Amino acid sequence: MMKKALFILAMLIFTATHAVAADKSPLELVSVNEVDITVKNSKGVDEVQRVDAAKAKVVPGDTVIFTTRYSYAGGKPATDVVITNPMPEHMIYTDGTAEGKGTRIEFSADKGASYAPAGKVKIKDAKGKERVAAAADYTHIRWVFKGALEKGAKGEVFFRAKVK
Amino acid sequence: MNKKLALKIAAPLLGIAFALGAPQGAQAAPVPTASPNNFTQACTQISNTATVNFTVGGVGQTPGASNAASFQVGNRANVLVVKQNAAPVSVVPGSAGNILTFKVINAGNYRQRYNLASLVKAIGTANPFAGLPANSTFTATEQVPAIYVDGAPGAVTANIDPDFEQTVTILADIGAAQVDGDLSVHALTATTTYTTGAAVTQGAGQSIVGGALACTGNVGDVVFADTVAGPDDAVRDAVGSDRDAYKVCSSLLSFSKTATTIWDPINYTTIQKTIPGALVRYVVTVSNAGAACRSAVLTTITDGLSGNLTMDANLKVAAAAGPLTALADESAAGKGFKVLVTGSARALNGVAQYFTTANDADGVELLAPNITATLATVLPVEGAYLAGEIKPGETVTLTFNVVIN
Repeated sequence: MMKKALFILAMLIFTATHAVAADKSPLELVSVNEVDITVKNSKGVDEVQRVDAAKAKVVPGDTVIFTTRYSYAGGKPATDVVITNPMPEHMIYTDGTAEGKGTRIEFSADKGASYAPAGKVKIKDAKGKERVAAAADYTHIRWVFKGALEKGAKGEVFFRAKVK
Repeated sequence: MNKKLALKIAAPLLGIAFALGAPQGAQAAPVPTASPNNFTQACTQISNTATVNFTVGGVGQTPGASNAASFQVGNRANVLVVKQNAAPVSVVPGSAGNILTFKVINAGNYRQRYNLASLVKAIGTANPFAGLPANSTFTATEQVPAIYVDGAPGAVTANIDPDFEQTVTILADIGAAQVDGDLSVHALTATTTYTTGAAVTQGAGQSIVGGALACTGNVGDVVFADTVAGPDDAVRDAVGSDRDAYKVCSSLLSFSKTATTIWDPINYTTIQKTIPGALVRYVVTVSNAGAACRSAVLTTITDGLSGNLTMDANLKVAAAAGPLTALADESAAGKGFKVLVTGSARALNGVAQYFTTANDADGVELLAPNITATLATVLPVEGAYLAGEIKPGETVTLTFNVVIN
């Protein structure tokens, strides 16, 4: 009888946990694609404006800024936070452009199987010979947060990439 | 004394090649270009999604994901027109259908069509190649139609996918009065259109039709990416252009004949006179000047013998003695014609060839009263030589003796 009661209790806990998980995550992400364009201001002077890529003229060779904004609404601090961004298809990462305050930035050239800092990512060529991966080889970028996110924390991480 | 000396020259070498190369037939399909850009095709949707992993209180949480933010790649319109020769096309005066060849390359990221136009540039237009003359000196007459696309007449290309190209040619005729060194400059322009033939308009939210991918609502952004002006188009006008040129170049033939009395039956070789029984040597010389820029192909040299002359069938050698029958023969008996080519890379350069004075098709014939040398036989095909060809700097002579009756 005691065993049966414990089993039912365990099932209730499992179900409750997964019900929470199906809800909106307390660590919310919003992706934005933008481009910098040069326009003349009211004084006729060139001025750089950042606009939504979907509303700009983006063609091969143009650079797009991929930004992920995060906000944390959980009750307890979030730790071991890692934001991962697969390189969008048809894009080539622009070396040295990934940023994220309070994070360690790592790259993968094997579809996320392994990560390393820029310049230390390894890739094998067609003959199986290992070499340092170039920016064009990167398939994923990730930002590993060095500290915990407290409730109400907000920020953004971003990188630039060119349209092939 | 003898008469009717004549020289026949075949069509200049490159002229023949041009005639054979004249385009005709149906237009071939575009082919991949040698240096593709591999741009992302217009209308492609690019989407970005980030994910997050984290723990709370040491317990792993279900990963979160961002929205899928996307945008559509616009039409990067760019057309290249590239002439295919590294120097002006060499032409001869009076030749027709001379060809200038260009490639029209879709260097953009969407399927396009191009309207073509040829331009005969005014005299004084800069030579599009290094070298002289610095400016054009005449205007070759373009044919009607002048433009051929992959062998078929027409001023519109096929629908060309990105990184594909078509060959476009311009045909023109060269006036007979033109001289060596004359230059005529021509241009080809290609204006970008959609596959419908409608003009492409630059800007946001333009109608985009014709590609393999459909833009959302057939609307997309169009950017003219030809950031370098061509010789006959402006920056970012969706027009490509290039210039090419014809340069007149022909053989520089000289043709001479000398008659020298080399022996007479009284004075022999001491102040010999042109008297009955005297031996006269004729030398017919054809030269292509070293400054010429083209070979000549000779067909025949003909000479008419006067009835007062008798052919020396043995090409006798003058001597201070007589009679005529006692003079030595230069060649084997019965071979009274000598042909010598000099300044040549032919194997027989500087080596005399002798031919009979009979009408026996050996290369030089006497069918009274005419002497005919057939150069294709005398100077046959050999290595880099065509039959009868004399290159710049080469000379061929025909020597024979006659006796004054």
